Amino acid sequence: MILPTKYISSADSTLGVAGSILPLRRIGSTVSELWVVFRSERPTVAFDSFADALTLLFLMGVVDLVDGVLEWTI
Amino acid sequence: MRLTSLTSSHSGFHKISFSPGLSVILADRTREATRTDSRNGLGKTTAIALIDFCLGANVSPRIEELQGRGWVFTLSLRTRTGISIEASRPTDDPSSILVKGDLRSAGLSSHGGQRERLLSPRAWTTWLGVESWDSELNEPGAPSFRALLSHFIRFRKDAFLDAFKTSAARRADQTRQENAFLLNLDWRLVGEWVEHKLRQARLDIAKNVTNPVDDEIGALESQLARLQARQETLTAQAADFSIVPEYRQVERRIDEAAALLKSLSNENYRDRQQLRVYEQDADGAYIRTAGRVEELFAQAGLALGNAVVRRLDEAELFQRRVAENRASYLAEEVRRLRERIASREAEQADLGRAQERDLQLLQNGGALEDFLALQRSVAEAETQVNEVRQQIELLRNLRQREAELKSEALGLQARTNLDLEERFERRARIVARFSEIMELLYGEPADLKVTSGKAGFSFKASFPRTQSDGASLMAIFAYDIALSEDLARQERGPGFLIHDSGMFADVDERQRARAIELGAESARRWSYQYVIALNSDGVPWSELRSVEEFDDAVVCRLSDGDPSGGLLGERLAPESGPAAPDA
Repeated sequence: MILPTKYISSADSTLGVAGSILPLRRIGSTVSELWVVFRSERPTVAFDSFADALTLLFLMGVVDLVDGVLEWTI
Repeated sequence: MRLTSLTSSHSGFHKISFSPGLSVILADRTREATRTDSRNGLGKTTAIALIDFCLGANVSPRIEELQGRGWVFTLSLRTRTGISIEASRPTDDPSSILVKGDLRSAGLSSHGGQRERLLSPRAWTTWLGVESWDSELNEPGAPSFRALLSHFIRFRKDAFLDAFKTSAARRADQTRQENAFLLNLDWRLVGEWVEHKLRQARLDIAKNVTNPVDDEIGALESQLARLQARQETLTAQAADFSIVPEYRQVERRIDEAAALLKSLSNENYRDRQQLRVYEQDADGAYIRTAGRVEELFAQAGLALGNAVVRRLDEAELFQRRVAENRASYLAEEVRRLRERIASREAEQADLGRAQERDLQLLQNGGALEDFLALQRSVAEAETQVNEVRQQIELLRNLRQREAELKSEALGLQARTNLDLEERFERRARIVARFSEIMELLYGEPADLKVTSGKAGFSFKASFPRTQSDGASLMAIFAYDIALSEDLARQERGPGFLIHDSGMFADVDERQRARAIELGAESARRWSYQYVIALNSDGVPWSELRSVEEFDDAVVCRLSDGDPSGGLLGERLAPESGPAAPDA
């Protein structure tokens, strides 16, 4: 799930999706906004994968949700 | 007409005055002369040649020998109506013949007082033709005076080969025509036979001799049927053809639509898969599975180690808040997916319909170049049909000509037979007389056969086979006499018959004597002139009934005692010249 496997490409792995989210962090501040932007970049990625990727970034201390707004530490 | 005399401007010439009945030109040979030397001959054959020359003959080598001396030879004759005419012809200028006498009465001039006139050989022979045959020779295609005359003056070497032929050079159809004329048959038929043969020959060339015409026509007709069927099919196709302009573009459009349809289908397939996933997870059970974040946490710990800086419960809380609006996100997503799918389906439907229309378009019509190719095929088929038609026409034509020719041949054959039948009486006397003469000479009757053969009239004289060649010569003699008598009876013809010594060359003395007497008697009885030329050692003195009568008939005696004894009264200067046997 996190890492690419025989069946999941690196782009589709959670790490990969996280990688796609990172460049978009300045554009959307709320989850919804980020999701809309992300959707246009990666239209084939489901919301659940998006959520997993955000959670992974949280685990790594890269992002936090404070009063409905995403805060990035990098 | 009557021959009166033969004279010359040259003083030494032996004048010959002709008798009624038999006239003999006798050459008294006292010493041996080589048979082949005509210059040393006494001139008896030359005498006959000169008569022929005065009657319009072409200049022969014999006459050529007499050129360069300014000699003129004159033949005096009496017309049927008794008018005396003289015809003088110079050997140096044979194209002008001087005629003298009561020209008006003779029909040689339209001016009353004219007594002299220069004529061309043609004009002279034309008059002679009228004098001998009235207007019979005026008809187009009729034998000429000269051609007919050759049957009554025999002196050339090849004149003694055959009763019906007077010269080896004469064409078969000409000989046939002359004899038909003389035997009172319809000589015009000969010309018709000649034309028929020509047409037959031309047709034979045109025909292909390996295949019968009917077979070829049959084969061509079946080929024509095939070609016509093909032509009809192609023409119908061309008529039904509707040209689709931009045919190729339409073809491309169809292909593009197909590709697009395929990609749309693929995209829809993916989206539908995704939709199914969402629909299955409508209540968001999946994401609320506690194990999910746990799984993530575990894997992150493994993969990233110290990079993980949050606790599991923090992560669970985070995700719960992130997914707060998940339901609406999903709903939004589902809606979007459904929208995309629907729009693609709509596009697919449109494309499908457009493609359907395009396909229909292509099915009913064709590209312009295809139409042009079809038109060319139609034109080609038409050409082929026409060619075969023409060939058949040609062959049918040939077949027709063949049939016509066959029918023509049958018609000619029938008419020839009919002519022979109808005119039998008119030659019966000639045929009978011929047989009578031969019987008199040889004691055996002979046949003059006039029949109809593959080429028209056919003439044959059969004679008894004896030891010598004489019988064949006497057959000629008998024919000539029989003809002369018949003509005299009808008051037609030249009125004389002239035989050189060659006529009696190999004939036995007995037959010779009988023949001479017969000729004399015939000429007397029927009032024509019979002129013969003989060597004195050729005269059958011992067999003649009356030597005196024979002697009386001699009108010219030539001897070789000295040059003045010859016809010309002098020896000709040695020159190379043709030799004719001197019998």
